[in-house]
Amino acid sequence: MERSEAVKKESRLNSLRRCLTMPMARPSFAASDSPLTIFYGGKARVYNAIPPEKAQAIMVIAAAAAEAAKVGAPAEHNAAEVLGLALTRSLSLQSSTAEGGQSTTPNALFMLQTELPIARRHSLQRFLEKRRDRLANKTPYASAMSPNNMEVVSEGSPKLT
Amino acid sequence: MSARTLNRVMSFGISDLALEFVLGYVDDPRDREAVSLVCKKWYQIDALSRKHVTIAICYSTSPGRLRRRFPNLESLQLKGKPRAAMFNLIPEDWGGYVGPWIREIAEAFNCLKSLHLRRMIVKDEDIRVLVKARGHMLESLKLDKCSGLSTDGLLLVARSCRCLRILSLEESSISGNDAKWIHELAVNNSVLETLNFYMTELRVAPEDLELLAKNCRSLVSLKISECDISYLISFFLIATKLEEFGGGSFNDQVGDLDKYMKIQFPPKLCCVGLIFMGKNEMEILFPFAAALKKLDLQYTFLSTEDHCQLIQRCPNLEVLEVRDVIGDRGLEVVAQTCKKLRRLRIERGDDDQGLEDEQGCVSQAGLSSLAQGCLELEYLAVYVSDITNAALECLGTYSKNLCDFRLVLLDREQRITDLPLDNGVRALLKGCAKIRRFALYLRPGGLSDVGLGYIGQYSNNVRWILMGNIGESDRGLLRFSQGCPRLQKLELRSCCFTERALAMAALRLPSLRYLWVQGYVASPFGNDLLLMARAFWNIEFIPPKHDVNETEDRRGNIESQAQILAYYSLAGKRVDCPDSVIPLHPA
Repeated sequence: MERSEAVKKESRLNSLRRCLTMPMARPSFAASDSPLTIFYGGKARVYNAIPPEKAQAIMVIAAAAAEAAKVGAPAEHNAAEVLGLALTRSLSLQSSTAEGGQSTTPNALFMLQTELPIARRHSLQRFLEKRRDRLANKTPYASAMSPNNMEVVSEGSPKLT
Repeated sequence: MSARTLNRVMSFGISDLALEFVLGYVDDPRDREAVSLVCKKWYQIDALSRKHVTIAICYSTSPGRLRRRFPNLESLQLKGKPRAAMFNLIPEDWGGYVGPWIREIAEAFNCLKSLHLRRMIVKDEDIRVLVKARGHMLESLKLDKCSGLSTDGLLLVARSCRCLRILSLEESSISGNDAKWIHELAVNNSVLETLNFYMTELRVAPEDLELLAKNCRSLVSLKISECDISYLISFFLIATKLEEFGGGSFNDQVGDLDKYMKIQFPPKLCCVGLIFMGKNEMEILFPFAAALKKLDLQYTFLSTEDHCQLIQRCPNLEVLEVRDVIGDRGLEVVAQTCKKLRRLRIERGDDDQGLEDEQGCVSQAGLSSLAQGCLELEYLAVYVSDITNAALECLGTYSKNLCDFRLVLLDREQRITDLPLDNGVRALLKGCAKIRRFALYLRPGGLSDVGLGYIGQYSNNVRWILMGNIGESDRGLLRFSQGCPRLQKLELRSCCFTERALAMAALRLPSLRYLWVQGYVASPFGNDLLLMARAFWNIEFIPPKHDVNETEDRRGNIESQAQILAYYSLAGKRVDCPDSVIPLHPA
């Protein structure tokens, strides 16, 4: 039982590790001027260039683990410590030279970009992709979006241009 | 003695047997729930006689609990992944494994005849266990938007389930390239009424469909994957009882349109949806267009004008599904022609100019015509390019039968005629008192906090709400949460609410049992979410994901913001979370 708990915690850490080490495809805004500082076991570590969303994710997970530790049995308490320890370990993969602890305004850091593009239904998306493929196959040399193409599509029988 | 007390005393004079007979006629799950709350005896009788259960999220309970309470179930529906999975927002390995449920079904549910799995992961091994135990009595199997299985699994079903009347695999992700399973189905089954593998990539051989039509004389509904329908000429001649056909495809070779003109459709066919159908091919529908009750044009190549030409021949249409290429002009035709219309879905077409008809967008004009013309409308889902309060007021005035309303405002136009939509939304909800499902996806400025308060105030009957880009601040959400007395399931996307407000709202909404959020204002130290922590309330967190391996094109981009999923559960913490899902509470 204990062993499987440990396994689960390990996979939590893996998830955290992956969360932290995956490169960003497109930073939502300037990867933080504000470093992330973690105090643990009497030591402080400072981490630069952690994107705000990742920093927030770390904190949500840590906060939940701490909550669980408050009400839980000793086993859970240990788990929270392990988690906390591992947070430090995994963050250390990205740590750079500590800079002077600058205080950050929570608001600026955590106003995450919230306007999301409208998501497309999977089935429609596949259809639209297939339609583009059919268009491309029919008139590979035509320029992308010309009225002629539209006619071709809606009439069903291609007029070879 | 008050009337109520008298009633209760009298009910105890009814014998158990009589009670069972009476309850046998009570099917509605809400009525059944009420029955089970009267007293222990009524609870027990309901439990032993309950025929159908729908479990809206499979992690809210356990297979064992289901078995202990309803051992004689004949029909079970299970849903796995959150609805957002249909929009590519949920990791494939999120969960929803059917394995534990199948094992319980195999061991204990001896009366089960019908199984419907939606957005779940179903492996071939699960199918093997299921058909070994229940194959001989399974009458209906629906794998709806599922994944994880292959044609080997389908082969097992085809060979073992000879009583199967309904087999549906719509939109499921099934690997494997052979079509043997259809052949086996045709050979082993003679009672099949419905076969559906629409929107799958399964291969199909026309000869097998012909064999199926010959052997299953009760076949009334067939929806297939892509297969040129000129190969189905013989099939259509044999399947004389067919009422519904979907799928197929048209392959635009140069010339040779005659091959499609040769098709003779079965005489009772009234529900049709043909993939890649273009303007010339749609003429094959004209001979029986007047008999059409259901028409699916979402996957066709028709222009606005084509839609007008076709729909004006369909006065008996009850269900219509299209993309917004139908345009306001097409909706005008619908309003004038389709007086019996009950369900209308208007999906979103391509964003690129030139790929869709210029007239292909829907606005307040089309909606107003529709409301006034189609008074029987019960379900309306629409992507609009422009909207006004007046159009929503019009719906509120005329669409008195509306039960399900979904509106998404596209981001094509910079300027929208009339925002915010506060008054229109209020009029709509006040006027359409039967609405149980409601979705509103706008843009910043689309609905103010006052408007959000209106939704709360006038949503007496609403059970499910999806909102995107609405409200201005936490105040709006808190006002909203003071209303919506029956709201069970809430989905929020791209809103500006803080974790604290979300938690407060979740605690305040009296009927809430499921909450999904993507896009919110995070708390500085990540602990505000836990304000909603309480017994039996699971909170899961999906951290933001940036995967460079996934191609990031305009429409398929996988980069995603953090998500919160919270739901009531009697089963405790999930034990099968992938790395991408973190249980916060219980942690």
